[in-house]
Amino acid sequence: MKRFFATTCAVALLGLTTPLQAATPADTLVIVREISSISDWDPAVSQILDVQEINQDIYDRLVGFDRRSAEKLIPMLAESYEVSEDGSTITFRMREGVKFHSGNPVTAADAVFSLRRLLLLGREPSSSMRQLGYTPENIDANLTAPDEMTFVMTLPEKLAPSLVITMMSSASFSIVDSKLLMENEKDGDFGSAWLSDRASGGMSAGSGPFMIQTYRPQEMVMLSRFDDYWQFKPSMARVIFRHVPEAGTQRLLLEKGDADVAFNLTSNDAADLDKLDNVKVEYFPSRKILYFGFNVLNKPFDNPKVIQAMRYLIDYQGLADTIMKDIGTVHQTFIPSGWLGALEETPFHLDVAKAKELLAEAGYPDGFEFAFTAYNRKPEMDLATSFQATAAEAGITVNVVNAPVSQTIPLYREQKLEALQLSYSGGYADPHATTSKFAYNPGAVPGADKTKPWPSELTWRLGWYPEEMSVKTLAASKELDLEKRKAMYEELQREQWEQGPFIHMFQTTQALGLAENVDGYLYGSRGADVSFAAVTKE
Amino acid sequence: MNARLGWLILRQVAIVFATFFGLILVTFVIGRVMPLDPVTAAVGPDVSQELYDKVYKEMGLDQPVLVQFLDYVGSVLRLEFGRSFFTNQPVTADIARVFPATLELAFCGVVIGALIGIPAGILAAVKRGTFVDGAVRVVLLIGYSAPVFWKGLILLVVFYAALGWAGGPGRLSIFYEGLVPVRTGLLLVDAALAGQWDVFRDAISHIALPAISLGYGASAYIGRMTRSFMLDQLKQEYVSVARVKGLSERQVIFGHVLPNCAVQLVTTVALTFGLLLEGAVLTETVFAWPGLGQYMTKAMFNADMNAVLGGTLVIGAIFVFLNLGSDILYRILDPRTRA
Repeated sequence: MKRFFATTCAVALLGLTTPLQAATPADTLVIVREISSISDWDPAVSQILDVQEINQDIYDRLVGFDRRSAEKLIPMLAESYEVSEDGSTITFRMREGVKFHSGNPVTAADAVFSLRRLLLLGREPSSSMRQLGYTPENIDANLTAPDEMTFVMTLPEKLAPSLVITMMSSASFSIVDSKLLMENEKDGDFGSAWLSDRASGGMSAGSGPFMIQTYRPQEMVMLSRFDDYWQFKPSMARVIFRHVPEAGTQRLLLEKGDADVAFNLTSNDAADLDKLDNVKVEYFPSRKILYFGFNVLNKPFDNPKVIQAMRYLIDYQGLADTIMKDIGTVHQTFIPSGWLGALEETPFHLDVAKAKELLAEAGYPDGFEFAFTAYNRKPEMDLATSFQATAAEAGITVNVVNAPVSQTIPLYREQKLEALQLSYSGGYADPHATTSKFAYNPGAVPGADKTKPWPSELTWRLGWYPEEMSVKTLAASKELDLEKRKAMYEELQREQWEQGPFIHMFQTTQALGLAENVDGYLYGSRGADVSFAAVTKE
Repeated sequence: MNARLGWLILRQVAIVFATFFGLILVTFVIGRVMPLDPVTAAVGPDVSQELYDKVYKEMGLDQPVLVQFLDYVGSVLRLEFGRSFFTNQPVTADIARVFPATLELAFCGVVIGALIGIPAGILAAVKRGTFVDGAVRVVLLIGYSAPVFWKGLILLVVFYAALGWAGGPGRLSIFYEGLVPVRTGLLLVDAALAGQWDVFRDAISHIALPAISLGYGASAYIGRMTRSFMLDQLKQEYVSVARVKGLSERQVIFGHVLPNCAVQLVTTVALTFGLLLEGAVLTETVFAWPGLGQYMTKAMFNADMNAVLGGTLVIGAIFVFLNLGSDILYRILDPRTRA
């Protein structure tokens, strides 16, 4: 016993005094990231950003970006596609010789299965299929596979082909292994429980360059290379995502060489790391837009002049230089920079005198008081506090309520919030993804039942019924001419500035801390152009 | 005598049951009165109304509250806490995964705490009012009042980043991931059982800093309590008698005073252990330690009531048993309670 104790102590002491191995193996990419939100790996179920970004390299879609240089959308699992002249049918020719991780071949039947499954599971990502006009009743007639390698998609709604193709590059439209999933189906769930539940397992239902090898919730995800990947052979044999919630700890791991990529750096950490020799920091614009919303069902926000006044009570530039430094840029519309039709102008700035003038015109010369609900994390909380201070200069008392999204959303859905601060990330890189959220209310189009609730719609949640803009949004989504389409979105953004209850402020930036020898990490703002598959370590 | 013992046991069991029932009732009420929407937590904010209504029914939220409560009691008795929405695993499986990590850390923490705290407390009591007493108090006070977060980061910066003596965040270096089969979930034990001494060494080097960080904080409390227990005893007449009898100071302290403090010390250390089990959230966050504290915090932020309630019940149960255990030890160590 004494000997055992002595040995244990000796081993422990040795453990504490011998310098430990640093630097990650040459064929392994170690990414430290806050990944506790991951709950479900099924691309037709999860809307979580972390899952979508990792799934991006586990699954392929019919169209997508080349992971080695993401210039434009190209056919991926489809070798080519053809749009009929009237835009109502898209015919995909599947790529020959592509295999899923299980070894099953990728066929047109898998494409039909994946899209049908996406709609019928009915979870959050299925909203894209509904936007395309598919319903459980019409889906079978409109998705067909006339032969093993041809997939024909008939669009029930007439929509711009550019919109449909971009939408199909998003994570929700991942092509899954129908044979494997049907072998694991339970109670008509298309194998969803099996796919979601697998805490570990050699195979995934995808055909992408990596597959999940081990997953331990809130601890780590280990991916291994799929050697039969059709496009190229990644130089990394393993990619490990390690859950490290604290930004300072991520920084230490990167500095020390125990991690190759740090994901959640603060702006201070990023600036400091940039000065080191063995680390570099790269900044990428993301598609997340931070916004304020005001409920027009409540006084005084029923008066558009009051909302106009609010636009002048935000210190955009001051915030960009401080709280949002390196983590966001001023962006005042709902279409993110880099997308079709995005306006880059920033017509609003802090102007208390102008705000007071507008408030006086609206009948509130002495200001008013309201409750403002903000997400209880940084930088959101700090934005709310800054707004509280600038609004006070115009005599407005802003009572900030900090709450988690799980508390805010139910109230938002029931139109019960007076004003709020939130963010929105469009699911696919087409202007319709965000325009349909910020300029369109299905209850406002002519002939719609105005009493029907639309709790999923941001416009309805704020009680806003923009009839003309809703009609125009639908028209823009159907416009076949790209230039005309672009002009329509520009117009809609300007109209939102005039009439809308939303104030868009910032487009966030993703700062990635990378080890000096890491190259090829793709992190774009179009959603589908995120990948670690082409990373090399010199 | 036997009847009295039987009565005592019965009383203890009744107390444990009443505590558990209270715990279940309180967790149920909290789950219902919190302004959180479990359906949104489960399916996300942007689903159709039809799916929302379907899940609402599946969760039994359309049932009368009493029916919901009885269902809840039934599932707790079957040790089924449902599924966690944010890990998508059964809560029992989640707890079985995260709890050993916390247990291992808290155990090492409390051992370090006791190894520092008890001798320091004895020393401070014996040298009461001297420079030594003051120095011990200052050192322990720093441990107690310095924010855990700050202490953790400083330890990491010095011993991991600068000197390279200790392992970094997490339970293991990535090179050792998956080498040891999971038997108990306690990595040190599993590695020792498998004879994987490399992994054992790596695990020790990783647990050292968080355990020291926790242990230093705990030593402050244990040290202060030891000092005050000792001072109480040192005032007693039997101490004077022992000294008059000519016993050395060492014999007085270790032979007479310390055994009489042991009873209270056991309770103090047991409760400190309990606190470390539930209260290591910040340490777990700084050191990326995948334990119960992080799990519960995340569950609360996500309004994942199944996970919160399951975790609360587990922590509650641990406290009940620690109390019970220290009560029993109390009776063994203190002959007066057996009369």
